[in-house]
Amino acid sequence: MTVLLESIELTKHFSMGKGRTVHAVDQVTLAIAEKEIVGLVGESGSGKSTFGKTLVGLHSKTAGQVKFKGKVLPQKYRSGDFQRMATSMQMIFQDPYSSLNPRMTVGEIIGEGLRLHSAETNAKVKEKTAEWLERVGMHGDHMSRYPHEFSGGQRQRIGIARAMILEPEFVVCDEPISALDVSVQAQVINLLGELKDKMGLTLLFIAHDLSMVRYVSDRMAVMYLGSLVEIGPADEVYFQPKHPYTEILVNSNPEPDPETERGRLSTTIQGEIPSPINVPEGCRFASRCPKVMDVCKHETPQLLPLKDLNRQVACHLY
Amino acid sequence: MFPIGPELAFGIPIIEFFDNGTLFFEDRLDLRPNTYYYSVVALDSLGGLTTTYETMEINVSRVTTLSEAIDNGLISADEGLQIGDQVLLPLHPLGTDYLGRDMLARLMAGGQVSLLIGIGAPFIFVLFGVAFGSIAGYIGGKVDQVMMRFADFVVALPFLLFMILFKISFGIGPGESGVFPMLVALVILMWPATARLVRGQILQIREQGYISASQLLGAKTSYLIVRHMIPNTMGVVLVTLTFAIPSAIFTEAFLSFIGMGVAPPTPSWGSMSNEGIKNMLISPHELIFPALFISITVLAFNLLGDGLRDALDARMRNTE
Amino acid sequence: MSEMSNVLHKKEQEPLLKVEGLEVEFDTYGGIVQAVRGVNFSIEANETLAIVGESGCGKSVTVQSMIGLIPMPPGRIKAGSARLRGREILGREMIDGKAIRGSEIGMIFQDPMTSLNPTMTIGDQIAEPLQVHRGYSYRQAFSRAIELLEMSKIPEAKDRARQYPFEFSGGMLQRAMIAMAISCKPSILIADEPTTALDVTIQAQILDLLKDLQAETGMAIILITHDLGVVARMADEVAVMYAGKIVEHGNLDDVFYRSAHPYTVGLREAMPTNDPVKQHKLEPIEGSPPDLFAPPKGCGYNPRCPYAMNACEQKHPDEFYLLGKHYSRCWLHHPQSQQKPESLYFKESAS
Repeated sequence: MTVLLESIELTKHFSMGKGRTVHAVDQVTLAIAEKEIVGLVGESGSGKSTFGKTLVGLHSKTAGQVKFKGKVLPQKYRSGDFQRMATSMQMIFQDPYSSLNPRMTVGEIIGEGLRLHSAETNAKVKEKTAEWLERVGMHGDHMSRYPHEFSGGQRQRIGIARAMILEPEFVVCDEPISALDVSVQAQVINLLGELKDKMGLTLLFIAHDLSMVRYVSDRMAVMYLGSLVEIGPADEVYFQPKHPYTEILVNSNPEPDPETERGRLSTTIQGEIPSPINVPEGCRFASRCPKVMDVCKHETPQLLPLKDLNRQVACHLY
Repeated sequence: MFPIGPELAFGIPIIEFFDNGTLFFEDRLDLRPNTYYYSVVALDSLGGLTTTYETMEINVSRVTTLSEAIDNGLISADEGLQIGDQVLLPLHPLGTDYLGRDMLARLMAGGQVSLLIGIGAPFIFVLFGVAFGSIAGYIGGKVDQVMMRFADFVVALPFLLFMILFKISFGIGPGESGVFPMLVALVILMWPATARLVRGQILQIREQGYISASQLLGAKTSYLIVRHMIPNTMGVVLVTLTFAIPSAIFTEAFLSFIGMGVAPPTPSWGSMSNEGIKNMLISPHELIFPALFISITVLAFNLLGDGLRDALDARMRNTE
Repeated sequence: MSEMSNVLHKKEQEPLLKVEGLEVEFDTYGGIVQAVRGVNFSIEANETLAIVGESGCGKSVTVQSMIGLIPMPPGRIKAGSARLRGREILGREMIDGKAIRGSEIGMIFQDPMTSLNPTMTIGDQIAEPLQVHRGYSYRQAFSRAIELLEMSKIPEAKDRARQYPFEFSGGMLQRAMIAMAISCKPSILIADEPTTALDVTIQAQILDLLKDLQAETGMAIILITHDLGVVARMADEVAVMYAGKIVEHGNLDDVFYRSAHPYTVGLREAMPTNDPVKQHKLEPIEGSPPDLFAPPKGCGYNPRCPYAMNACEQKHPDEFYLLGKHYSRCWLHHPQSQQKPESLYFKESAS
């Protein structure tokens, strides 16, 4: 399978003044193949959103590279770079309420991409906008309305139409369903699946809902405090987690099935997530790991493939 | 008969007689503008009082001498009017001021000055503040810091001192009207508040998803600021504007009062109010009318601002 | 007659909390919104009742109106009663000389960041209900607050009590809120989406904490959530709400394995299961909930229901009892309905 996009030791730090740095993303190496859906999970502070934004250029890179189809992307994007990449990489945002400009009509929002890109006539832009509105399950005449007239699920569809109208090859979905009701989440997920099949998209699906990520993704990657700790085929990672953190994550994930829940051992995690400002030496999970060893506190484990298994884990146990 | 002098004491022109070698007669008693009753009694050949008399009810403020009537253009010289005849004075619907100048006419003329300063200045400095604030807010970092420190510096400048400096530099002497320097001073010294507000809004708007989305679609910085950010600051800007206008009008009034603004006889609502205070108890209309005009204008702009803001924000309020 | 009633009375002991026919509406610019349209449920000590539904179904309004958290204009309790140990509490502040809200019934909310006063220390906030409701002195209350923080498994409770909310993480704040809610040993704890804003591992900690506290104190828990996984983990009884009414009610196994209402089934089909055997394609529920300004006279779920019949539009379904206390408000269960309710049961439900 050809690699469409890969990040090589991608690092993003934010400086908070007074010499403090937030290590949001640290040396993440991830290769995404064409037409693949890679799910990225993690809790707050894991850096998954920051990773997604850095991939598409919304954040400048502190270190490391991103390659799209083999070509290295700029370390810091200028508007010309965004222009160039707009037909290749796009993003769907988390909050349906703040991701649409309240002062623009739905038609203007969706059509913006076309207007900024091609010199299409107004009529053509309108036509395409209406076409895309229908494709995401809404009506063409919704074009003249404003975002506040729509529900969360509908707004998310508008956001999807906006991202798709330029027919990108790679789309980062940054928690696209977290703010939606359960029954609406399924609508949006199915829509994404449909579009992915029809348009041959490659997706990076970022979320904290493990069940949803497993359902959607081909491969699943787990992040903790800025580093990748495990990556492998989604089902395998979920049902046979290798990294202690993944194990705990999966065990904490509530399953809508009473029997499963009754049989579940209470292996809840200890403590709180440490601050990404003073990142501890050695393995970042050492302070909370039930299988911690001495070496874990001094040496940072590398993300290495396991033998006999299509899996990469960053843990001294292996 | 005595000569009519140029003094301003009220008097009753009892007789005017133009003749060679004939004297004129005018009664000068330094009267207050009330109604008086004058009785004129004829004298007999020995200088004693006769029984022939005439009593007239005279409202002193509504009396004018023949020559003044001609001078003011109320009658033409050859109409052959006599003492005691009535002349139609032009109507002063809002009365006159202490110099006899028509209030309404002055208010209308004064409106030109007050509105020019009161509306013109805020529009200009709000516009500048918006531009300054958006650039500072969007670019952020060191540029933002420098720009905001500059704004702080401007706030610290003493307003009055600069007014005086501007007046001098524009070569306007004492007793002359300084409308233009007042405008310049207001614009140069009042923009920081708007800039700060707009910058705050922009900092918040910058984090919104739709800005990132536009960037990804290839939008340039100027497009982002003009098309996305500034329209979303309209609510805040309108409120600022509706407060800036009355503030400017009052500032102008204050400046005119202390002699830094318009100089007499140029009217402005502010200066008229200030003059009206002197005669507040005697002729309250001199204060009430200009104050009323200012109040109504301010109220009108406030309501306009409210309405505009509600109309624009009706859309905003529905977004959580 | 009185003998009979005595016997009856002994058999059916008054439940800890019994809500009957609760109807709550709101006056708004657009008209009257009928948020809760006739809700019945009861709960015993040591039991956890989960009220499940999506946004707008009225679950929060139901519990908030019981303890007087709904501002009464524009809100209004149109009808119904809520009895705590047989005594009516709707519209009342005190019962048996003790306050209802905060003392008899405690509550924790969704977002701990905004539910605590940022200008008071955590210790002070936990001490407050003790001072107000139990007349403790400040010292007594504060030391009890430290104990409560320890019960909520907050490490270094003594130091933590002197800190302010901004120094706590989300999970810790939720524990602090729990400590505050249980300070006066309430008989019922209402938890309104307590873990929605938290990470999944922290969620597990909080849910375990609630279970432990329940085992220690015997309090009842009313858990409001939209997450069926949380329900499966915590609940003994489940009430599914839609458009202001309870559409299905039963114990945990009933509702999950013998789902008897199309909405319950719809919810389950819209969520991914992680059981390697019971995989299914996500089936979203098309459409959206009805407008509660002019609620339909028939079943609220009718427009979205794949099994809709003519009767559904005309009249709201009665309660049809299945097994024991398990009931469903759906015309499919009427003896004369054409469609068999078996078609409802989730395709691969466990035996």
